[in-house]
Amino acid sequence: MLTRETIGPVGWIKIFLGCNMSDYKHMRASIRAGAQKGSVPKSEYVNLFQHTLDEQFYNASNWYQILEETEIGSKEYKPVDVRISHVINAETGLKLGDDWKTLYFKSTEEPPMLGRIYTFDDNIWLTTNIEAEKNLTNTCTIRRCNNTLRWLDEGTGVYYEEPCAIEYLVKEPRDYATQGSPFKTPGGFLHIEAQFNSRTNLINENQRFLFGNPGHWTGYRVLGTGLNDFRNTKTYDWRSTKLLTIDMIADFVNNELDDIVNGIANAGINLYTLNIVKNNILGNPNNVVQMDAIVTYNGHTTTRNIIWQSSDTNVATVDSNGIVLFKAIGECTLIAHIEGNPTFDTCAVTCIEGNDAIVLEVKANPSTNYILEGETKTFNVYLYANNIQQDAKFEFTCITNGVPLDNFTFTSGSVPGNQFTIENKEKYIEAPLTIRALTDAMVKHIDIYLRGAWISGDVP
Amino acid sequence: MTETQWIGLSAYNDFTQFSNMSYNCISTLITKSELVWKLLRYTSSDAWNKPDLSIEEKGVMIYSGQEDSSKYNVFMDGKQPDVLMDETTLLRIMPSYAYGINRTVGVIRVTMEVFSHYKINHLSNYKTRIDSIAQELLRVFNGIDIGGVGLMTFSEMGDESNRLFQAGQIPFGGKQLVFSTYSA
Repeated sequence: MLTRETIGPVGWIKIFLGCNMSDYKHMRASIRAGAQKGSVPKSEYVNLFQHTLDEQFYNASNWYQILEETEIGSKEYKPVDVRISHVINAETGLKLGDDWKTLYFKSTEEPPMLGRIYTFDDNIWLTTNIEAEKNLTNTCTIRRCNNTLRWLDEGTGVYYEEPCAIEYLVKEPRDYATQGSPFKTPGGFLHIEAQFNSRTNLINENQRFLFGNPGHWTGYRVLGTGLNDFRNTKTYDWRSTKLLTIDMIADFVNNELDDIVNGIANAGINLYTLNIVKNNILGNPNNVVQMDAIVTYNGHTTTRNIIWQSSDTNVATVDSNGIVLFKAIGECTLIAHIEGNPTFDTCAVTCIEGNDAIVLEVKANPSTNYILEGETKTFNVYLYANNIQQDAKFEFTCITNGVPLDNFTFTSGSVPGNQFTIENKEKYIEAPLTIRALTDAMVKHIDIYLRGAWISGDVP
Repeated sequence: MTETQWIGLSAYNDFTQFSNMSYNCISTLITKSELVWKLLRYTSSDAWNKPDLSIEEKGVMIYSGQEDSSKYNVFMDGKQPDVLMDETTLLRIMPSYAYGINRTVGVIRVTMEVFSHYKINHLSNYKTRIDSIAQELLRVFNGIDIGGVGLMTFSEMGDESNRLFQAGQIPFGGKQLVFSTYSA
């Protein structure tokens, strides 16, 4: 029985080679390649070649051990022995310089992969062309990455840096001064190659990058049709794309909002803060405490994944939901950070003997720090002791901080309780209201901003 | 031979203040508005909420013939040849047109242009940078003495050209305001 190989979905095309062919889908690869024609001892040739390669590979001056990325985008490397040679420009017949190299691999079994990264001689090299398909030897062309793409993800604040190869020349550099334009604006195009992976797949049209050095950055923006991430290495599989080309047009630098030390565009736009609600916690072994952290994005509360860690899991552990379990006498530190983002906060943890460790905490629900214009919001405030809600009542006082009285109403009842309500009648941007929640045990200040009808500058 | 006196020579309009208009307006703006300077200086969306600038800080934003005009924000003319490489905001104030009503009284039109890179135009206080500056210019200069005869005005009673309209082109959009004052 013949082994059938699937090479694509069933289509309208049928191929007739004078025999009773099945649909394209079921066409045998061996027939395509002509491998079965005649009685050529193909495997013997292949084995002989590999044997010769094994014997002769190291009998040369141009073999080196370099590092090869294990998987596309993994940033993990393994050593591999290769011969390295020059690259000849097919159009000019001239040798290309040190920015281009050809790699010859020892094994014929492991084909090179487009987009794979290599590293040697303080450089990152990107595989831009391969020759392995139905080829006796495995070779590839690699190109030296001469810069990096640096950016902050708007939604998470995560910093990325990916090696890339920028074409030598800026295409069509000029200062544009069109009719009707009050100023000259920069023009010029960059063509860039980079590995296509889960990180570079985050790059969008209109995204801006800085290239240059701390004394002189130039801004470039991805063109609307500037992302070519659709060169599949398997016709029907869009996942097989491994190489990304990016075309950018000259753009601007923002000296205040860009990080002009490290060359990161829009670094000052996506500002995150994270605050663990408690500065320190005290407990006895086997006590459990729920931790909370408040994340703000450009000043307003928001929701992001938080990673919790304990500096000493013998003293206390913390799970992914922020629940702390005291385990043994000692001290440690809890660390919380936004997933993938360097913003973090810490909380001191002390585990003591006995049963007298009481952790007091005031929680307001909802924990949002703003009310939209026209909205009325009621906040519930409770005292917690060792994470258990208490009956304590609060006396609420509204500190206006200059917010005009006509812009809001504040109600909390004439007697101490656990609720206050604020109506945002008209936005006030300059300062928040501060609600002072006082009980016998402690006091808490809660800032509430009277925003407009929408959150200005939010991430969609 | 009898010499005949030129009767009424001193009664002709010499537009004495014409060349002072830009300076008078900018110096007025230094003392009469803090918001405009903050919006010109800071590119962040909370520029309106930044601390006020000192007079020295305002002064270094005004172009006065340096090599690269793209590093400045305030100009006394409307012709900058240097390519802009930064997301910035610019204000240009200049006398743009003048005519004589009669031999002794004339009208000087003063044009004020504000341009902002589109990426920094929106502010966090639910306003745009260009409109905020334009409004501030109206507030400061409509009905103020900047050296003409009477007050500078933004009114068709003063001159039919007085108006505000869109200006600029992507990526630098803007507004243009035309004020007028009498000169004698």
